[in-house]
Amino acid sequence: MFSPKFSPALGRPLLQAFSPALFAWLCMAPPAQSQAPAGNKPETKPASAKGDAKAPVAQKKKAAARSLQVSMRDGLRFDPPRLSVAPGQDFVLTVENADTTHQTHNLVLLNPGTLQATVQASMELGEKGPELHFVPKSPNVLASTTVLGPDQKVQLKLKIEKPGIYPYVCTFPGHGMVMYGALYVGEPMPELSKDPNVPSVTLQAMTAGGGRRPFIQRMFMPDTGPASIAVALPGKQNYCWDSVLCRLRYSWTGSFLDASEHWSGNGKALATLPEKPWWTAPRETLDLRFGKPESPAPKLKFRGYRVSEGLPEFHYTADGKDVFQSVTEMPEGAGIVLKYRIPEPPPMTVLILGKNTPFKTTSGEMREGALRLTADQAREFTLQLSVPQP
Amino acid sequence: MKPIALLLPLAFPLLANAQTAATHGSPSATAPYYAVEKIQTPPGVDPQIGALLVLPDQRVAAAFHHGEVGIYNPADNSWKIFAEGLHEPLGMLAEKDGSLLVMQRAELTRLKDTNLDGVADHYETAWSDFGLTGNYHEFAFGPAQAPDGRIFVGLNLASNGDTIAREIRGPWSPVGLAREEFYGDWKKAGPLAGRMYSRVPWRGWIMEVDPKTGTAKPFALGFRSPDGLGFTASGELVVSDNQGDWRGSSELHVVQKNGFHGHPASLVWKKNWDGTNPLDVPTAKLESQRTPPALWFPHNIYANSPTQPVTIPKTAAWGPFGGQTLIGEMNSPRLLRLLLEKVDGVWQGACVNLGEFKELKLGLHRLAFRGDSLWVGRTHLSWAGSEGIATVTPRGKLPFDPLDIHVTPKGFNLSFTEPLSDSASEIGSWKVEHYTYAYHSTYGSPQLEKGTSTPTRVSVAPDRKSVELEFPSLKPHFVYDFNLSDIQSAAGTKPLNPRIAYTLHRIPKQSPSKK
Repeated sequence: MFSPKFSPALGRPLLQAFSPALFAWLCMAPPAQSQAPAGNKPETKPASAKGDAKAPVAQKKKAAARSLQVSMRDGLRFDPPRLSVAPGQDFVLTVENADTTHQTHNLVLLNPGTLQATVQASMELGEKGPELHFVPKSPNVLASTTVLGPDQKVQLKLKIEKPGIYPYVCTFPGHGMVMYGALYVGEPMPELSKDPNVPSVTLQAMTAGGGRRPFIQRMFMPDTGPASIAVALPGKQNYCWDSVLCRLRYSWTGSFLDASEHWSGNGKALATLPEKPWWTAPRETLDLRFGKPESPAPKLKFRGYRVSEGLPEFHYTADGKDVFQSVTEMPEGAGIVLKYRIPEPPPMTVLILGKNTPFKTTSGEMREGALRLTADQAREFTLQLSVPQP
Repeated sequence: MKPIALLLPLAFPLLANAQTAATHGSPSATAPYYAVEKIQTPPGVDPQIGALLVLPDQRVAAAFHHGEVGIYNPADNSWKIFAEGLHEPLGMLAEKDGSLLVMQRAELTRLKDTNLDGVADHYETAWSDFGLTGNYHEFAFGPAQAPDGRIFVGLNLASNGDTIAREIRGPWSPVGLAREEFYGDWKKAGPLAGRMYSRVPWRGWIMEVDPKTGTAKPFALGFRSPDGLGFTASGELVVSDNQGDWRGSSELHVVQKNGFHGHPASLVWKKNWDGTNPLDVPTAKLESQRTPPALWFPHNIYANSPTQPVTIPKTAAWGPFGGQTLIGEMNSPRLLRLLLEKVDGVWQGACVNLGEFKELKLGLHRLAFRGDSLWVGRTHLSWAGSEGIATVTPRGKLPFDPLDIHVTPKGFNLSFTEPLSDSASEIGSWKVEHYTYAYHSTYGSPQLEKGTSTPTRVSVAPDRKSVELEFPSLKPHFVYDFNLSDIQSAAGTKPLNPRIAYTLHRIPKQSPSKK
């Protein structure tokens, strides 16, 4: 699986059947960079004879035409999911493949109420699909583009006399079940979130864990390494822990990760933080040293985490020594507390905190930006980090 | 870009109608032979399936798109969420002590339930010594377990559909586009990175992992997007790979230890690689070193995006198909049987549909047998596909279909599940096309050097269940695509699946001894 695509031909409008209520014709050729894969012969004609014949007419009438745009975007969707035009109005629909994941798409405009049947018919084209640009031959197809590759753009000049809700859909194999929209012709548009004619584009945020707290989620997220772990603490604090550097990276208040784009696509979009972190680790902060602050950085290896009451205790080794680290929330979400355990510490352990650190320490000696801990102290110690007061 | 949530409740009425249309409007031709049933997925969980596993106690574990691992008990149709918060888990194995090994983007993780309350409480890193650039296409596949217990995973290349993150894990290969270019104008720089690229270790490799020690050994290279890892009944590691650059059509590989399986990006991690950009290595040189795919899935006819290979159980219900390899497909509702053989030390063979199961919709991503029932987990990840779980169970009578195929010195021996009618002995009944695919950096390939092969001799076996076809010539590295629509069983039935495509690399000098 993954990144299936096929771009058999140039991005040219392919005119299908004509409805008495609709006139569609070719208006403009695609940009010159459109290119078929080497050796692939476009099996369709550049445009139907009808289309070419009508092109001059289009130019004569262009002053009156309304301009509409629709883009094919990442995550199998049309943007916008709905368009509106008056009955009998000439309009030019510009269709652009803006899908940054290199997927190819078409756009097929249909008679009202024929979406499912057309998608089904397109699925049954089998090996004839590519030469037909996956557009089934049907009187319900009012207009269609060819299969468009990345960044290809075409224009369809259209006019629809009869009021109704006309679906537009991508019938490229596998896309039709989720990639569609609706052209409203002289019909009132319901509120988007209640419109049964579009796939759900309610823009409802997908919070990781569905808002449950505590919650642990691994995901791509901003300003950290690619193998990080986010944790929603039981109250209102959240933090990001990096399994490459084996330390806390930042903490924020409020909702947990918004994973909407990450999950609705193929993982390209990062999760987003609903709030800006109130603390972000400066470089080297929370780095561990054995011996002196100047000692070489130990070799870190992440070993996983144990979960107790929904919260993780991270485990890593530093030069082979086990280190455990967990985070809890201060009362009323006033900040967070980092707890370290090093069951078999060396004679001296150092944690780099930096000068003027906001961390409050409960044991060890803080000097020149470094917390120095004896073996006894390093077995278990905590650091407190309060949310700055405005 | 606005966040979009696909397939939220508003879309359901439409999808439900579409499904009804598919099943009631024109019943699937597979319906007389196989029952398809839907398995309800747990409420509130995105039902895209990354992994399916039948546990030793016959419950079924599934890994979901948002990172949950759920365990389904078919005895009472209940789900129990065993683990949560994983990052795109795409494969799973059970260990002897009951823990689960799950491959997620960043690591192979052992999920352990140490307090025996039915929920994992220890997420132990079993192996993470590989690179991550944050590129979306760096999926991690497997683990698949060999009959001898060894465990294999596959690491996807990155795609130039996007750049890399500022922070990466693992060493960066200096071979290729300079790293700072990855942070500039990607529209300009992207094409120079290669369509798919491997700039951190072991992208494009199959790795043999020892989850006990947390170490791994590189096993084979040259992969692009090795979504499906599995073993054949004879113990061969087979891996599917997707049409794309250096993949003229989708492929099945029988993985050879240290074998180079064709996609050059991963060469930079080969021991003692001389630092040449793989994009600059002449194609002829690459071709001379590569292990060719055991078979092509001809695009738009058989499969556009094949998934996980599994072995059909040797049970009465599966009859003569038992022991053959089965694979799913993302872009059509199709399951395919794979018929592999080794000729002169080279693996080759054929694909043929098990059927076109309209009720299964699309995105047949993960397969697992539980007794006679095949469990199918679907996904799309915003590409072609669908979602949810369904089972496919033979009803007791298998269709008339091609059963197996072997190359002979002059052609092919094709066997069937039922005796053939008299017309099978007529040369005119046999329609065969041949074509090949280009090996090049361009995405995909059209069918090349296409022609028709007409048999010169057709000889039906005394039991009428197989036929020897001789051709005037056979060409290595060609697909022989049989159209059996003119063939009938002695009972007058046409094959349920009238197409079978054999990828030929080697032509034997002698006929193999008859089994």
